[in-house]
Amino acid sequence: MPPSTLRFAPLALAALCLCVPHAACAADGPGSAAVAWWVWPIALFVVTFLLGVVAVLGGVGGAVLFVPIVSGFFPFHLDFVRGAGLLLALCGALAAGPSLLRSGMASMRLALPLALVGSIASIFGALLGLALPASVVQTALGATILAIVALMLRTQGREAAPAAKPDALANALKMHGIYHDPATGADVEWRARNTVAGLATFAVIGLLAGMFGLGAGWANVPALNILMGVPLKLAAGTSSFLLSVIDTSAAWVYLNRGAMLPILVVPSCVGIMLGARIGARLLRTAPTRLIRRTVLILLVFAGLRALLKGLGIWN
Amino acid sequence: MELKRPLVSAHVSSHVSDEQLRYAAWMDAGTRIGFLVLVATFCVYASGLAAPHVSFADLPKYWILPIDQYLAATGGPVGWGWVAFVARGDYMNFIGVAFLGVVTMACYLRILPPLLAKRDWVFAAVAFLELAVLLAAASGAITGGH
Repeated sequence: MPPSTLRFAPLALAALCLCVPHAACAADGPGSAAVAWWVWPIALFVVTFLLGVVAVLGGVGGAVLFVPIVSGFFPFHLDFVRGAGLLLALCGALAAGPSLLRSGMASMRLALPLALVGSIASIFGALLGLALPASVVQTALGATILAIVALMLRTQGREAAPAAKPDALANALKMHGIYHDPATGADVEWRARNTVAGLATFAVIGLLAGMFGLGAGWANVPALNILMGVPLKLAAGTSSFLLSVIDTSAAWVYLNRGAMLPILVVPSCVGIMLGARIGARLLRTAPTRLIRRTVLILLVFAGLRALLKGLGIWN
Repeated sequence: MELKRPLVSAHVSSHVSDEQLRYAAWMDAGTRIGFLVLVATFCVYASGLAAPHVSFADLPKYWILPIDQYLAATGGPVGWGWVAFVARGDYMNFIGVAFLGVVTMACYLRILPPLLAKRDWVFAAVAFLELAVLLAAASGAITGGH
């Protein structure tokens, strides 16, 4: 795929999403048996492949696009889509984790206490999501996606100054260290601040991740960098590692509840991972600013769709 | 999602602790096996080599339902009940999903002994508590529902 044509990837994705329900509604409503079953895994593969490409280029996690788009434009019930979203985020985090940990771009020292709070909260989030009526969860999902867009716009291009002094809890948990930045060739000393507020924030992030199956990269990085004063690169790497723990807890709840449809999960995981590989390769040459803007528009569109679907206005 | 290939030859920083490297090694191996199992079982399922519990023709009638109604309509299992259904193509895929869910637990289990040996009590306690949380989530006792 030539980089110059990449600007059309989000548009192609939007067009595909709009076409899917028309195909599905050929007979008596979404999910009708009038559409051959095999159309859905192929459509999922194509859509998630494109999602994988634009997610990397747009600097967002795949699940944050996957859940609102697939729940809004595919016939699968939201319970299954959220379970698949968590697994998709988990697969990506597990794949990225080893190299991040080995290179020191993710810190277990920093992640483990936050992951503990986040994973407990994500279990409650998953239970809450499975207990609430789908319309309520869909409405809340739409509102959350729109809030994520606002957060992304607010924090875009911002990088907090590193924490000068750790707080008492960060000291007790030894949330400090050194990482090697290969870009500058320098060893960077880091320490965390606002640990209590950080733990509380990760409880909320875990709750939302479990409830909506969104993964949580969209919130992890600003929480680690802006709130806790962790350098941006370490925050991004540690965020990916955190996802692998937080999403595991919530994914077990969905798996134990039986909310895993292989026909939804596997083509989506494979599609988004292949797309992410292509996206990562194109990262240097693609018009990323334009794509990031388009991804934000896509998120607004998907968020509005989820909101209106949840409210029963656009079914 | 930024995907980075789990490389055996990835740059290893001298600032990385021994337990972090151990965690990474198990995470890498577990993830590779989990993906392979996930894709292999899906191929068995999609090719029809193992008959599914819910046929492909019927599936679109059920996937629009909330999970409770889906289970009631299909007679599907909850908790670890899927193990009894594992010979059926659709539930065979749960092996790969469950394996990926076990990877993090195995990694935590791997780092506990070196942490205890180093007498890093605080970090060991955090790792032990996380393991307990993950085990509780995986136990099948927490399933929720509408």
